[in-house]
Amino acid sequence: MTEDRFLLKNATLFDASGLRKLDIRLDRGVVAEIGIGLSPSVSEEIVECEGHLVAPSFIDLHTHLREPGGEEAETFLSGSIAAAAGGYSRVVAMPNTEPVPDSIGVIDEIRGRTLRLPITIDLAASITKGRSGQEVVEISELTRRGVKFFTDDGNGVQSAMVMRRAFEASAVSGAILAQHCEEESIMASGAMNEGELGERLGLKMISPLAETVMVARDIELCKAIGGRLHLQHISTSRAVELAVEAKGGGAAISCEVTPHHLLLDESYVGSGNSLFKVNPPLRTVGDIDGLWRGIGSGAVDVIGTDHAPHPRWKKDLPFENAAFGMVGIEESLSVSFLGAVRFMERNKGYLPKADVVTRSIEQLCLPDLSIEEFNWLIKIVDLLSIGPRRLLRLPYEPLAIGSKVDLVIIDPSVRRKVSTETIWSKSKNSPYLGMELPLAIRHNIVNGRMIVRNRSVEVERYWR
Amino acid sequence: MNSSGRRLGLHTSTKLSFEDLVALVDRGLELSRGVPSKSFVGRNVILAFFENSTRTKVSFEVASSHLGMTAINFDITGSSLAKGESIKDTAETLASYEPSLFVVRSKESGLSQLFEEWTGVPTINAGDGEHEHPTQAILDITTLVERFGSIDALKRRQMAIVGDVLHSRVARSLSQLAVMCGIEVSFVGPDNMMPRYIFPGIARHSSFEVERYDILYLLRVQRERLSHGEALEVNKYRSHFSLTKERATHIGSEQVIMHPGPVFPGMEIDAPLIDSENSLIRRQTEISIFSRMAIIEAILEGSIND
Repeated sequence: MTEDRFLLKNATLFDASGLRKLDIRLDRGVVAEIGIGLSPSVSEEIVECEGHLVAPSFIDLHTHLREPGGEEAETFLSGSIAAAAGGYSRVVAMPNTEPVPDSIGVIDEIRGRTLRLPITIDLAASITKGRSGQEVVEISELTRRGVKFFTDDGNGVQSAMVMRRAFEASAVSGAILAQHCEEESIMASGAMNEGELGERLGLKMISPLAETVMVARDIELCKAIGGRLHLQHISTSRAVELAVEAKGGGAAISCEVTPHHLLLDESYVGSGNSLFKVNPPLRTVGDIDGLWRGIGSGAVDVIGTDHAPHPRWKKDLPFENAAFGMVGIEESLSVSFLGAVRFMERNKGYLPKADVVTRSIEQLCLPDLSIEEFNWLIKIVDLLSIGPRRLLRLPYEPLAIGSKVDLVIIDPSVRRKVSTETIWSKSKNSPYLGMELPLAIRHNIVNGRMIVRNRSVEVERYWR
Repeated sequence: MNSSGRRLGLHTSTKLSFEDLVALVDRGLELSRGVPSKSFVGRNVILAFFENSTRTKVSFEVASSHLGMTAINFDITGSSLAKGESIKDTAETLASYEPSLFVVRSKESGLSQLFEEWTGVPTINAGDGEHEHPTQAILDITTLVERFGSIDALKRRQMAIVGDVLHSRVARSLSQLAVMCGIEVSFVGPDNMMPRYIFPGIARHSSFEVERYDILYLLRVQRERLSHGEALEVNKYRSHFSLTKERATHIGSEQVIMHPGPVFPGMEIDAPLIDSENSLIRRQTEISIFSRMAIIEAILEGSIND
């Protein structure tokens, strides 16, 4: 038996063609055979997938890996282990690092540190030099050198004129401009969502308008100038409406939501628990429902984690002084799914648009899930797996003989409790500590290697 | 909450029950009449004031010394915090001296709660940012009960809380308790100093008609707290919301004037009115000692319950 040949038996496979039930023979990351009742050979490992969902491994368009400059919180090594545990084969690293990847020189230097890791790390470049919001980077040059994704994440590009210049470059190069949607002049310097709870706690507040005004502005710019706009971590139901309207008009706009905004509302802040401090802030249940309806209607393109590690001392502070952000790349599937379950409880009978689920759903249905849950799970996996491939223009065609593919095997029968011991990330600033979450990533096969095996990352084997 | 489910300290007036309030008011007034207090000789209270305060700190010092306790002042300016020690380390270090109580004042909301969570030591919130100042609210109600004769006598009294309600921790705590006592509270002040979301049942007035209220509670105008774009013109504020001599000519003998201090004469209130017949401002300061003694007694004896 060699370590990179697998026969996945009885897999419920979800890919761009929908759902199928079959066996998959994988030889060094390439599909060798696909069909019903494949007989095992001695040289391969049999992976029993009965009752499990199999899909292309996830891609995160929104990961803070903190390297270089913030290695106290996370590194390419620790962050890639956490991502693998979450079912990911590729992540886009955000550029709010020191130095900022805003030139090919810096990017080449940083890229060198990522190449030997078992998963792929794409570096996002900043939109403006030094993320200062003043001067647009050489977008066309960087695009020619393989950078696809540009963002000043952590800050929105405030100047409409600077953003216009960026769209002009995007229209020529096809670069994705990912905007941190926050117009800073409208009550953006606060700590939590504007509303009754924030006011009662006497905290400075962040208006939903900070998000929606920026979304509206950038939609106008994108429609007028051209180029590709990616709206990062949309958190308000109004922003979803704006995006739906704009996409209806045919603009190249994509929409990202985070798992935490799909599950947690502002009440989790309680009397000021800084683990729940994040930007955009946790909003209302009405906003959460708006995001889910956006997912259900097809308006949302991807689930991005905004995995944001921080050392303890940046969180052990009064709410207003604590850092924004939470880790979550390991729990993105579980948290999103739990969010869907809660949404279903509040909105009985509402189902996502069935664009992928086939008619033979009963036969494919996993025994641990109801049909409604199964529908939402498929939709979530679509946004974690297929959606990001579409945006990054990576191959996502249906699995066939000869396909090179990474696969994640999801176990719906497991519930697990999150603790600092279960978290692989170097930082433990998780809002889910103590929570019991549904589903688990059982295996993750990337580049032909099983880098997560039975829910445990093969660190010794592949990260040394 | 500790493991037995009992609340330890006092962080917000939101969680105080009416029964708790009545007990604290009654006990405060008893102590003010010379009834002997409990004795906690040999026990320490650490006063951790991360924000300047004279009145509140001295009031807690005197209250704890009346109870036989030793008050230890943690002086922020010379502390390791100034050298970059984390606030959690500071709390844990102070807790290792085994105080029975912390009293915490901070410019950040929520720090007293965090002190208690980090150390397990009961903690009193002596004002946290723009959040709450519950001991001030309790002593204010105590002062009113003394003046009007009983807590029932407060029912249906009209109270105006005047000034920068939005940024006031005193207003947040006091409104809560005043409403609990059946007082009919109004907020009076400029629109940009009114809360938008909390206390939806409380009326907002942008003109100050002094004759409408039994209780005129004037807030300090906290110029330093006003954010950019909300700059206050002192003269305009005075002409609309200060208790000036001219406006005070409408005040009847039953009406009372209160202020949490420190008072800047000529800003919220004209100097002669501070010591007028109507004013309870000095009495608030005197009562504060007894009220805080009652609060400390209750916390050390664990008699404030949810």
